[in-house]
Order: sequence, then C-alpha cells, then structure tokens
Amino acid sequence: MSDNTVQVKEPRGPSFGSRLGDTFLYGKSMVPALLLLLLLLVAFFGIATPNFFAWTNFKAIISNVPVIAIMAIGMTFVLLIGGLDISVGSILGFTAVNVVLFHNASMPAWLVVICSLVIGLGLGSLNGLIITRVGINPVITTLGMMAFARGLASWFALGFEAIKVGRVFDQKFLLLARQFLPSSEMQIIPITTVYLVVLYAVASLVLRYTAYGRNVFAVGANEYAARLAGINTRRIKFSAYVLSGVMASLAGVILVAQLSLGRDDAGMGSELEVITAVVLGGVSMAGGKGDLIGVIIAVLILGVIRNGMVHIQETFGLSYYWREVVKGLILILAISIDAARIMATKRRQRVRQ
Amino acid sequence: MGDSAASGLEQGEKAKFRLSSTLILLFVLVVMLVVFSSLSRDFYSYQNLSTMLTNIAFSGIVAGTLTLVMISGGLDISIGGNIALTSCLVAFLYDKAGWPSGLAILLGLVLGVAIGAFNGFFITRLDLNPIITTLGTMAITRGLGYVLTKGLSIGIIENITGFISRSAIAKIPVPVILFAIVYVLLAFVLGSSKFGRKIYCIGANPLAAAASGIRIKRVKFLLYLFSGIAGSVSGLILAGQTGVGMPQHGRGMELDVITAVLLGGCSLAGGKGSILGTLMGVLILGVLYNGFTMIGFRWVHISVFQGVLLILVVALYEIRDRQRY
Amino acid sequence: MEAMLLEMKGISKHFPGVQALKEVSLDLRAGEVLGLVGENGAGKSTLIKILAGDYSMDQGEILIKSEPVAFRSPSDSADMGIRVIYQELITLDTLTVAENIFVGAMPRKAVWNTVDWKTANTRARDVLKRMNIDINPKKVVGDLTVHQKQVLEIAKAVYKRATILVMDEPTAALGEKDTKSLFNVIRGLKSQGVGIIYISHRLEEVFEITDRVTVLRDGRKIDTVATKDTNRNELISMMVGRELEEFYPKRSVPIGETILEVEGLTISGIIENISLHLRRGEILGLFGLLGSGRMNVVRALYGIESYDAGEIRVEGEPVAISGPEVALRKSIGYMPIDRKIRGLALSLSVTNNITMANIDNIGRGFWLNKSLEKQRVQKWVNDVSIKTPTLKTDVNSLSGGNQQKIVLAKLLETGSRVFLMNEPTRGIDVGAKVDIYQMMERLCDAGAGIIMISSELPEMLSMSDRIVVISKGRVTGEFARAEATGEKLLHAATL
Repeated sequence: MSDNTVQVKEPRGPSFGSRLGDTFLYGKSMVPALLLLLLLLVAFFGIATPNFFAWTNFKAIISNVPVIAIMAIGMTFVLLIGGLDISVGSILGFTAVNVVLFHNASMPAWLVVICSLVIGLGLGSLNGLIITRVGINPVITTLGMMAFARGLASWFALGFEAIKVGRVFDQKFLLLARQFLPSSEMQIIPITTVYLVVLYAVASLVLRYTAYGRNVFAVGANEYAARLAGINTRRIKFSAYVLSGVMASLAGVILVAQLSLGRDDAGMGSELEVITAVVLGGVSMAGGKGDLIGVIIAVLILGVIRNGMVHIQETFGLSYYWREVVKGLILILAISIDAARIMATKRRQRVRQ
Repeated sequence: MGDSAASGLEQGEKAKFRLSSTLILLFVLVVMLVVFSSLSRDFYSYQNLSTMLTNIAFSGIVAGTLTLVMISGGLDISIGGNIALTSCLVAFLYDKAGWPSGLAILLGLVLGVAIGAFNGFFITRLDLNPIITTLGTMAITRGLGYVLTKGLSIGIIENITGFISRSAIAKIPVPVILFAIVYVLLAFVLGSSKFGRKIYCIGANPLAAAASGIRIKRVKFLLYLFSGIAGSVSGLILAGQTGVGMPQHGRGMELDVITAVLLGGCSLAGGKGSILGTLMGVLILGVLYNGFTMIGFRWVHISVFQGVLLILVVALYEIRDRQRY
Repeated sequence: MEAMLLEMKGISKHFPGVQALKEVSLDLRAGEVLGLVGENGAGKSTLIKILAGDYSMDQGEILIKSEPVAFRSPSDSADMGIRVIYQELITLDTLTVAENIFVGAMPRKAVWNTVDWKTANTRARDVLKRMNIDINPKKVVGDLTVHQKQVLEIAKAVYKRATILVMDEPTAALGEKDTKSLFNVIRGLKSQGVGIIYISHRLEEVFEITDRVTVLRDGRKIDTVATKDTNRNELISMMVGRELEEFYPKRSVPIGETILEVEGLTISGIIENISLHLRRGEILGLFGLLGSGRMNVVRALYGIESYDAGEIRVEGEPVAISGPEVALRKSIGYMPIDRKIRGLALSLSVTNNITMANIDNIGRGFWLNKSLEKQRVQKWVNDVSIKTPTLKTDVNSLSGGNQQKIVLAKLLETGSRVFLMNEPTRGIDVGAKVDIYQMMERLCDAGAGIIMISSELPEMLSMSDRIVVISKGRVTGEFARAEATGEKLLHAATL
C-alpha cells in the first residue's frame, strides 16, 4: 500500500485524533464499542420507523448479510498480512456470470459450486503471484484485477441473450441458499446463517489455534521478525490473496442462488462495503491485528443500516440512493478511527534519545 | 581517502535512460498510428480525429493533475465519481431548477473544489490512506449523483456546455484546446516553479522534505484540490458532449487515467514523473482505444485489456528499475 | 585448551568511498562477556551486522567452535545460534509476550496439532522466571516498556538456545534499577555458557560486566585486553588515538552576543527544564549518552518534536517553534543524524538537495530561477569541496562524506545563523571530517552559532567552546573548553 504523509511534526501536545485513539487502544478490543453501536442503531431504526422490529424483517437482515460476510473473511486475512484486495467485487461478478453459464451447460449443483470456487482460486492465485513474485503493489494489482475480472464478466455475459435466465437454475442449487432450518415447515433459521456460523467459527479457530493462523498475524505484525523466525512470509501472503479470491467466488455462488439471477454487474461496489466492514470491525490496515468477532458485528451493523435505510426511505420518502453515500461516509469514518488508533500508539512510543 | 568517481548511474546516463523511455513511448505511438490507419480507412478522418482527441482531452485533463498528485506520493481514485456528480449537478441545476447555464457551470466548478478539499482534508489532516479515502469519496460522490437524479439521466439543452464540448475554434475542438492549455500550464508549474519543485521533493522523501521546511500538508492539499477541479472540468466536458448528466458517467475511468500516468513514467512511490510522460501515456492509450473501436473490438474486450495493461505497465517498469540496482 | 566459541578473522568491508572495516579480528569464549568499544564510525555496527548476516564481508572468515561458517541471510546466522539484540527492537507489537517468544514454533496440542495457548503461557512464564523476570505472558508487547521489551528479546534469544548473544547499547534507555537487573540476567547467561558481546559507550558498565574488551578505531582493531588488566584512561586513549587531534582546526574565533536562549524546555516524560544559551561565533557541545534526551532537545528547537513547556528566544525575540518552517524562518537550521532518512532525497540531484530548504528564496514570485540556482549550488560545491561528477548527479551515487557535505551545503544555503548539528561527522571518512570541521570554523567566524551533538569525545572536546552535558533528561553539567575532560563529561553523563 502506498505511503501516507509521514507525520514529522506533531501538534503541541496530544492531538484530538490521538486522544480519541487512546480510547480504542492497542490491547483493548473494539467489540464492546461495536455491540453498543449495533444496539443503538437497532434502537434508532426501531423507533424511527414502523415494522423494523418484526421477525420477518430480522430474517431479511440476516439473509442479506451473507455475501458481504463471506467476503469479509477473505478480506480479513488480506488485511492481517498488511495487504489489500479491491478486486473481490469483480471476482464475485465473474463467478456469478459463470454460474449461469454452468447451469446452461446442465451441470449438477455440486459441480457448479466446485467449478466456481476454482475460479476464485485461480484469480486469487493470480493476484497472489503478481504481488508476491513480481512484487507489484497490492493496490495496483488488485485494481488491475478488478478491471480484468469485470471485463471478463461482461464479455462472458454477452452470450446471455441466448439463455433464458431464470429458468436455468435447478432446484437443488437454489436451495443451497434458500433453505431454512430446521425444516421446510418450521422456517426459523436461513441456511445461509448456518454457513456463516460455520465459516466464521472455522476461520476464527484457524486464526487462533493453528500455526498457519498465528503466522498470518506474525507476518502482519513485523515481516522481518517473522522471516527471522523461519516463517515463509511469501507463502503466507500468497495464501491470503487466494483465500480472498475463493471467498469472493463463494459469495458469488450464494448471491446467484439467492436471486436466481447472475448478472455481470453483480457485486459491483461491494469491495467498498467489505473493506468498511473489516476495518470497522477492528482489523487494522497496518496488519497483525484484528479478530473476526468484531468483523461479523460490523457486518451486522452495515446490514442493519442498509435495512434501516430502506425503512426510512419508505417512511420518510428519502431516496434509496442515499445508501451509497452512507456507505462511503462510514468507510471514511472507519479508517479515521483506525488512523486515530495508530496515531495514539505512535505517541505512546515516543522515546528519549 | 578521497572520493573516486561516483558509483552507480551518473546523471548523464540517467538522462539518457529517461530520454530513451520517452523515445520508446513516442515510437510506440507512431507505430500504433501507422498500424491503425492501415487497418481502418477512416482513422485519419476529421470526424474520427476530433472525436479521438476530444476523448483524450477528457481523460487527459484529469491525468495531468493526477500526475502531480502521484509524483507527491498520493493517489486519487475518486475522479470518476466527481465526473458523475458534476454532470448530474449541472444538469439538475440547469434543467430542473432553472438556473442560468453560466451559474450552473460555476457551481459545478465549486463542487470540484469542494470534493478536492474533502479529499485533501482527510488525507492530509487526518493522515488517512489516500486509496481508501478516495474510494470512499468516489462512493459518496457517485451516490449523491444517483440521489440527485434518482438514477435517471437529465438532459442538458445545448448551451455553454455544448459550446465547450461540441464546438471548435479553428477546427480544433474546444476540449482539445483546453487540454493543451492545461498541459502547458501544468508543465510549467511542475518543471519551472517553486511549487513544482516542492512536489518532487515531497514525493522523493517526505521526511527530508518536512525537515527542509516544506509544508507538505499544504502542498498536498492543493494538489487534491486541483484534482477535484480537473474532475469537474472533465465532468462538464462529458456532460456537454453527451448532452446529459447522469450518475453512470465516468465509471471505470480512474483505471485508464492511472494507467496513462504510470505508462508515462510516474512512479507509484512518488518523486518521479513528468507531464511529457503523461502526455505520451494519454496519447498512446487514447489512440489505442480509438483504434480498437475502429477495428471493431467491443467495449468488453477493451475493458479486459485495461486491467491487464495496468499490471503489465507497472511490471515492466518494476523489472527495469530492479535491473538497475 | 577450550575451543573458542566464536572467531572472526581478518574481516574487511567497504562501502562506496569508505573502508568501514580493515582486517578486524575478534574472538569470544563460551561463558565470557566481551566488551566491544569504540567511537562512532569505528566499525562496531558494521562488524555486528556481518556477524548477524545482514551484511556480507569482502574478506575474512568466521569460525564457530572452530568450524568455518558462511551467512547468506540473517536466518542463517540465527540458525547458528547467533542472536543480536539491536537498539531498535524487532518485536511483534500486536502479539502477546508468549507469542513473541515462540513465534513460528508455538507449542502444540497432540490431538489436532492446534496451538496450545495454555502451555505457551506457562512455558513462557518459565522461560522468563528462569531469568528472574516477571511479566505476564498474556500481555500485548506493544504495551510493554522499552526495558521489558528488551528483556523479552533476551528471553527469546535464550529460549532459541542462542550460544552467542550480541547486545548493542542495551542500557541506552534504561535506568539504574533496570540496568542492575539486566546485569543479573547477563551473569546468569554467562553461567550457562553463553558468549556475550557487549557494545557500549558507558565505560563504567564495561568495567563492571565484561571479562575482556576489544577496542576498535577507524575500522581497525586496536587491541583486546583483559578488563581487569586495564583502566579507563587506557581504554579512552585507545579509542581516541592521538593523531586525530591534529585535524581539528585551532579554535580562536571571537565570541559575540547571545543569539539563542532556551529556558525551561520540557517534553513531559522525556526532557525536563533544559536551559542553555548560545552566542555568536560559539560552538556549544551537547553531550549525553544514548537515551539521555540530548537529541530530543535539538529536535524540539527545530520543531520536529513538540514541547510541552519552555521559552525559546532567538536574538532576544521569543518564538514558538511549531515546525521546521518556523525554525528556518527564525534562522535556525538543522543537520539530522540520519542523513539518508531525514537529510537527503537520494533519488534527486545534488542541486535539488542543496536547495531543498530554501526553495522559496531562489527566484522571485512563483517561478524558480534555475540559473540562479545553478550559480548558488556551484558556489557551495566549491566552498565545501563536494566531489560530484555533475550538479545533476543523483545523491545516491555519492560517498557518505560527500552526502554529508551536501547536507551541510543545504544548511548553508538557508543562511541560518543558528546551526543545530546532530553528529555532523558520523559515518564519514577522515578527509571529509576535516572539511566539515573547517566549514564549521568558518561559520563561526562569520558570526553564526553552532550547537553540536557528538558522541565522539575528542571531537566534542576539541571543537566545542562550551559543553553542556545531559543525562536522563536533565542538564547535569556545563564545562568551559579549558576545564573539560573526557572523564568529567562521562562522569556528568552518567549522573
């Protein structure tokens, strides 16, 4: 990632920013603050608009969350190693288009899923190779991949006129994302929620309890020290981008199954939401710090906001399009908080020389 | 104990290197012009040339200011959103709110200043990562464009924007003249002014620049301001050219512009680059895309190519630089 | 006879324009503490970096337990049991203490091969306890004090079975209590057979903890002596040598009125109540050991560090120095200790670098007057004897001495009247040093005042008209030229 302006001169005394950052210090987790924010938002929307507290609405919120939530797992790994991936939305889109094409070729559901994941694997590996082997800046690489994958998606989608989209998908596939547990009669928990719980649980366990997971943190915390300790930093960084790609394609599969629609503009702009969720969730852009609990709460927060804004639009007639604006503002807010934390840390480490 | 002649590349050799880069780019440009004109009979028609040059002017103006931003070590990917919002705002004010066109255009430029200031504030005052910040700004501006127009496009009746975009002075389209003026100005600023010198210093080593008393925050803030204004100007040109203001305008152009600047020899890390280089980059890409369209490649093919090209360009420069050390 | 644990024989290393090491030899026994002393630029860091695998050597060989070894990277050296504790600690600040110790090889549970945090924490506590350290292994390292981080690095080295431990100025940022505890740790390591190379400027520590001492000077090994067989004066004279004194210009510049006054300068937690003054034509030496706060003082005066209290007066006028641009406007210029990081833009030309701090004054209005620029740069290049092929050459390709001269020229170009110089002759060859000293003398002659930080005692004693000593954030002594001696300075610096 490119360098920020280095702050050579600090303002007189601790700045407002670094004092603010002190409240979100190093050792402290963001989780309590995030939970509080979530509660406040739910309360706000619940009071301001009718129908917010309905059970069906609750189900709507958690049904809309999986796509971003899945990609957020991959993005978390990437940020943990100190990188960035802005191509996830395009990888999702390209996968979505391919899902349609696969169905057109009469592939069974399980094969569709596997082939889709391979796409994510491939594109993610390409990202990883270019970044770790050729040594190109991750932002430029994933920016290029973003254009490349989106272009490919549109290209492949040119053949769509010949396909009657919508009648293509087989039931089994659609059920992948639409089923409810425990049974079709008692529809309580969407199956996508189950997926999320499983994925997040597994990912958290990997990060916390496997050597690989700890090495990811080490690489992000101090790459030189990690290399000195014998960790293959290149491989670890590569794996993060691969994972990001796979998660993006998985999200693409789920999206198509949910909408029974695969378009070439699927996921456009979603990289913004994913990065917002991850940074808001406490994963530092400097690397080596963060956990998935914060991320899932942040994803929920964004989901609540999205849903709440629809209600506000219905109640107050505000344009639906404010959503994008709000997304951008939240992102900037999230990175401001992260920057404040980093500033506060730097200040505490001032030393006598 | 004395010093032997300097090791590593001397300035003479370095100048040759840089000159040869520009020459290579020029050579590539000439080759492309020859190839395309042979592949398509209409390539050199006035119609095609003026369209091509207007398109080049459109993205070129933004590429110029972006060059300054990138030399200082920053980045601005919000220009697409800027273009969209400006076109929507001006169209809205003129068409829906009944403002006189001159006033609407003025406000469009003010918008550019505001967006630039917004970016500048967060990046220089709060020291935020420029990429993510401008990503956010892009969403905000484009989103506001959607809000304003409710997703539809708003037509602009031919007027001053029409003049800006569609008429010509001495057969040269006005946008191209604007482009030329802007580039001459920027070239002078970057190459011969104190301000321009400071930009290079900041990009080459921000710590040393700060220790030398250069006011980094102020300079960078101004650069983002310029970038904002350039974005608005481009938005106006596009609005005039297409006759509408719509929030879909400018989608994906940040990639083109960044590629052009990098192709021209700008380094992502900062401290290197020139307006001449960017001019070459912009021309090459402009001719390339125009040529592709003339041949019959569709947009989808081109956009796949865009991504690959960006990475290729950076990779090539990266490998070349690595061999030097 | 017991084999030597480590032998470095005939090590030579050069950088463009400077011969950093000339056939230096050193040996270390198991269970011994070897002191490595010498002034700045003597070659200590270079030698250690070669041992650590960060640099390659031009000539020479390294033997561990009489077996020749070759390092191609830091991890090769680490694999051979060599650990270096640098001043800039390389801790993983976002992770816990336990994790820092075991990074890359966390203890695992048998069943799923998962990380066993409980064992990691208990084992970490054991490792620390064995060294008499009490830190909670679950604490995040970023929250530890510098001393704790240092001790953690040592514990990690011990855990990784380091047989050769190098400590580079370990007590620089430590207080007395922490230093004592560190020495206990070192004694414990000795008894376990670890060989330790101890680099320090603080001679009283060298006498307390080392068994033998190797002295380097100007890239050469002067001698290795048993600590008990030598004394402070002898060491100092070995470190300093006699010849260098001939190179210092005779200081006989008339001293004028006060040009800079500092009163009560305070940065909370770092420096307290610093007061000093500087007169025209005077060179004020600012002496202090690493971690004394002397650099913070100078940085505050230039505005690159913020201060919490105090008044600064330039030529009688009080000024609030909030940044370098203010300092420059008030005729205060700064020569940083790290020229490659803060002094120069390596990819830019000689011309660009020399004029960087004075751009606004070269030409009228908005435009840069390039021919005027060229004139002025040429003048400085001649004046300061900068050897460069052309004025447009990249600074990166010049030698260290010439680079430092360019920084000096940049300073001169600003027309400042107060010069703050932070180790002005660090890491450059003797010829360039002489040129810089002469330039300093000429500046004083022209009525400027210089505050100079130097850790080279002979330089400090020969160049300064007055010396202020700083220790642990406070002024602990002030000496006029005639009465100052190395012993008095070092004594005040360790108060």
